[in-house]
Amino acid sequence: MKRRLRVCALLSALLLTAGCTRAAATETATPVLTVMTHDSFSVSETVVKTFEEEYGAKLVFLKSGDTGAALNRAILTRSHPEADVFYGIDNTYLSRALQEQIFVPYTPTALAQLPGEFKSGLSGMVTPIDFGDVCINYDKAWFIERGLALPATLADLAKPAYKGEAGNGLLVVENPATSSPGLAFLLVTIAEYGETGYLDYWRSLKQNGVVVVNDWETAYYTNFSASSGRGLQPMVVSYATSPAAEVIYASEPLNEAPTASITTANTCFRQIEYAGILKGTSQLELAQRFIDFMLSPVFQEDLPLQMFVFPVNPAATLPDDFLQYAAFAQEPARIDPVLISKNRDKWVTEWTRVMLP
Amino acid sequence: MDRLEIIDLHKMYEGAPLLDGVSFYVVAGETLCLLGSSGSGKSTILRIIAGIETQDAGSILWRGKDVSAVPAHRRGFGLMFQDYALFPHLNVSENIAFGLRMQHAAKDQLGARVFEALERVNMTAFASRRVTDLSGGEQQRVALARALAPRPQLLMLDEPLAALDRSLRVELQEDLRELLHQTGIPAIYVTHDQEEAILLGDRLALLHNGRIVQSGLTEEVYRQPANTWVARFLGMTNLLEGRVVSVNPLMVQTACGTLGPFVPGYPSLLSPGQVVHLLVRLDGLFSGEHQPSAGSINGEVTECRFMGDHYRVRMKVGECASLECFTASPLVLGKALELRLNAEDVVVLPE
Amino acid sequence: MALLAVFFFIPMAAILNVMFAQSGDIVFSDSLRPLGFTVFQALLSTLLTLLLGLPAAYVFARFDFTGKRGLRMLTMLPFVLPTVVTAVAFNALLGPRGWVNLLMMKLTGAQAPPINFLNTFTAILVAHVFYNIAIIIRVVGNAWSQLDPRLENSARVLGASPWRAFIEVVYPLLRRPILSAALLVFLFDFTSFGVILMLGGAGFSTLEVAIYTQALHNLNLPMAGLLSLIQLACTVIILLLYGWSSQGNDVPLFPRLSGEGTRKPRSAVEKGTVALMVIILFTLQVLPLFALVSRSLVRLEGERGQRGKVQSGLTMDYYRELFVNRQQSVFYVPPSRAVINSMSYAGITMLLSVGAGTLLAYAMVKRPATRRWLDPLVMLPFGASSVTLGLGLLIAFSGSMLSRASFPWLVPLAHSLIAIPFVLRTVQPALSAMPKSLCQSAAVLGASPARAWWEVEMRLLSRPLLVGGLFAFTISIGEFGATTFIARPDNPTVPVAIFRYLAQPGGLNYGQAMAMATILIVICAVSIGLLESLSRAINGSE
Repeated sequence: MKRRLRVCALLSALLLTAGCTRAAATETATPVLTVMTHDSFSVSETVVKTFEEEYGAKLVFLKSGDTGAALNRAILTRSHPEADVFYGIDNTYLSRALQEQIFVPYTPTALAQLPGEFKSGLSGMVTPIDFGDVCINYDKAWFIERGLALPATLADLAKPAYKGEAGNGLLVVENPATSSPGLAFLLVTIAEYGETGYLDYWRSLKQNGVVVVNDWETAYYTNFSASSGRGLQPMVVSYATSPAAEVIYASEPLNEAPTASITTANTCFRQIEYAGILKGTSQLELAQRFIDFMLSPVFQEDLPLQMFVFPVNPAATLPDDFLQYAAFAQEPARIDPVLISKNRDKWVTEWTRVMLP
Repeated sequence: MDRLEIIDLHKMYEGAPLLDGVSFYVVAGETLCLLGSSGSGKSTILRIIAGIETQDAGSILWRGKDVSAVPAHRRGFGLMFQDYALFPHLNVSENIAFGLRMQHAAKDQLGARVFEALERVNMTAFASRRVTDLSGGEQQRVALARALAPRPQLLMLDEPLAALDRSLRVELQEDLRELLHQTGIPAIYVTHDQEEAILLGDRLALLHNGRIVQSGLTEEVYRQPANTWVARFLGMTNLLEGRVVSVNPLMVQTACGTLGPFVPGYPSLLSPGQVVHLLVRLDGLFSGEHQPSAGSINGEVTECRFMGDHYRVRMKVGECASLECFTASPLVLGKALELRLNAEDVVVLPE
Repeated sequence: MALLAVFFFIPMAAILNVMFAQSGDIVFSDSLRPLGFTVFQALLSTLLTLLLGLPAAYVFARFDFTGKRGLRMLTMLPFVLPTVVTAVAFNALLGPRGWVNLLMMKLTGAQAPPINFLNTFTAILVAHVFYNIAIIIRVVGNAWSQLDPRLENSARVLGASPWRAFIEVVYPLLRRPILSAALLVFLFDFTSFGVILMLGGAGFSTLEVAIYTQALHNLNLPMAGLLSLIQLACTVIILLLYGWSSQGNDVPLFPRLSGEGTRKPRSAVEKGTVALMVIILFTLQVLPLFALVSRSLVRLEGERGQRGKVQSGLTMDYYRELFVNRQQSVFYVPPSRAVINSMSYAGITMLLSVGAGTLLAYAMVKRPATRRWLDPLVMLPFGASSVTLGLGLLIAFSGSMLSRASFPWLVPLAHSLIAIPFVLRTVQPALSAMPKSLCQSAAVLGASPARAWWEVEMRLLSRPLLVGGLFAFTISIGEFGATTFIARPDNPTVPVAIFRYLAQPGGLNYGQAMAMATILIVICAVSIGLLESLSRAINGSE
């Protein structure tokens, strides 16, 4: 009996060392740049090869969960960072990330060419890479069938015209505690109605039968009527680029998007995504080159069809079908990232108390 | 009058008939031994009577009323399994008390009745032992006590001694016989051991090919087996094969010549040309100079074996067979013998 | 044991330590509500699972009927499904536009779907039963089939009605396995995450969901730490309760070859019972799977009203699309690779857990004293939050040689942590029930110790080992939470791949997710079938 135990212990030790030696053996002369990203990150092979060939390096991507999870991971491993570059902080987490001081300052030269809105709050630590607007997507056919006009403002959503039938509201939103677009939409309402008024607004939405679910997958694929889930709600909080995805990923070729977004003033929230170089990296030079690369047209033009976001670089040209169907708001709602960071918990808690029984 | 009557029981098993019209009866004060080879369906019969299996056709009459529709736990019959099936999570007393509890026996009486049951099987010292600690014989007795404690109206025992060694078996056989006679309840005792059957059974019933081929008082069955199978099953080996030449008088043609006349036990079953076996009782073989009334067989001794208090002699008779008999003194090998047959020593058995 | 220490305790200690060192507010009162709800729903779910599972176990243990093997295999499949997919499956069946509602709307002419299933408490309960009934069926059913039917018969003849016979004889002897299985189910439900999140919806929050929210969205680590501690404490309490309630000597049951005690149902009552159970199980377990598979084969786009027709009809497009890297993404994983990854992890997990679990079982049997503390210890990882554990693993190994995620063993090891309790629970009772005389008689008959062990013990253990191994296999394949923390993007498992497809809109994406899920189900079904055949070949019986 004891002998068996010992044998097993020996075996496992052997296995462990075998695994490790294999790890050691893969280190070769080529420098390796590790990029930690969130799970939605995507890039095409040709773009990756371009970088690798130009700099004679190897790119390794470490997908680490959704935005919050990835950031968490970076923070927790800061003494032994797992990567050299971190991509994927958005403006709702920006302030917190800067607080934790996990980055090394770097300002790429290409930053100067970017529109002003992307350049605020960086503190020289992070670089904006892309943006996407969280907007309400609606089911075109549904509205046409019923001859209903689209809601133009947030206030419209609370009107009786948009009250659903038999307890099923027309709008499905995500829980801001568990979902990033959900939080974005909550911030829109706060921007519009202020900290004193937003709860009343939500109460009126609740009266109108708004449906709350926990995550985007459920909202879009179970509740939304225009997706493959064929749900009951013709309006869902999603991204303004989602209609483009519906066209590009349709199983039969479409010449028109089945959905569109409401992008009127103050109804959308702009999510900007940033990248930064992690403290403790051993590849500083290479990391800086990579950040530059991410701002270059090669990378920026790859973004739309890979991640369904808009590039920040105005020089990047967008693919046709993307331009046609994806949208962004001219006047998205804005809140100072510092404020977000400070009050986020409080707002979410208050919201939960009102909206969830 | 306490009487169990089984009428024309049928049961299929895996597509073939297992019980094909079984009928017999048991009355109070007697033990019926149900004999048959393994797999013949004896246990199934018991289970059907107990109510844990249902027959395809046929009735079970107790005191004249059909109890087939009565569920097992209300029939009031006792069944003792071959491998005892004692409840492993209860100790000896609790096992025995089980049936009493199911009967809702008075609580204050419980202890006394359990003790009584234990006394009967001489196991009072084992009252609080775990059943898993008991030896085979001890478990055996506990199982018996458990079956008897609720005072069943009928007791069935399914080869209860089969798993025990010989000396234990002999001892328990005696105990069982006494016990069964003491309680006086009708009992059905299943076994495949004919010696046991002789000892314990007041009556025998023999099961073969799904039917009861013979039932009756033990002595009668032994004296007049109904057919060759019964004779063989009961351990009778002195069988001579032959063919009926004529029915009246009954003459049989064997390889050792035509023998007879015999007295048929079942005259209606015999016809000329029919294959029969002659069961030769050799008890009165060397009785003396009387004339054989049914012919004689010549043979020679092939084996003579000492068996403790007698000698067993095997002799070859003609080309046909080997017969066995017992003598008090040894015989020389090769000695020529003449078997003189008397009609009353021979039973003619149809197939 | 070393395994436990290294992969559980150290990470847990590390993460808890770090968690409290971070900034963030702790509001203790906020934890009470999730705690209460967690316990409540776990209890209710477990009761329901037992309610349905025990009769099912009885039917499987005592009766033979056509399709028995198939149904038993199908009941194991839910383990494989990541919750994301289960949510979709139930949606396909019971959602507002699911088959059932569509049917009912057609029949009654109602305008709105009559059944409101998703985002309700009912959904949570049903999903839990869906997942966990297999545990009861397998663990209790196995033990039941080893119970000598003659014990019940004796009880009946001695005057016990069928119900009484069950209470007096069957239940005391089955109490151990029942409690054991119930414990597993309870812990599963207690730490349930995806089901609550996606099927229960926004109105429900358990400890695990709260930990997830606090740790990964609010980045309020101290609060998450507090919740984790509470969760751990609860688990410990539950384990202690369990240990106390399952005391007493093991009642040895003579192990039977499987299939010995079964028969075809005879009376009308029996036939009815069997049929009823089969129908219930089928409805509960199989229909959602069918609905899922149907979604992968049927083209469903949102209705377009007058513009353009609704596309419908069978199609293999989604399957074909799986093999196409439309956007040339570097993260594209051909389904074959994902499947191979999943299978290899699962295979390794199975071997590891079966090995470790068996060793532990032996230890516990040969030295009953160790049982007291070993059993709860092994069960602890089960009751811990996977989020916390994942983060803990991260920290504990960051910077060390093992962290560089080119250490593929980490995934199966983590899976094994969860799977080992299962193996233990199935193997240990069988082991302790085995009479010593068996091996001794083999020895006397001339078998060397190794041979005796193989021929006798292994044969009798093969069934429990198989069941334990199957659980380990399916758990590993369906595991999603902890895997996301430690898997490499170039070695994704199938659940991870499915989730990626569902993270983007578009009919093709949805369809591919369904197709991938269907492939997952099919591959699992085949593997399970093969494993069972293998066991039958070794054992030579049913």
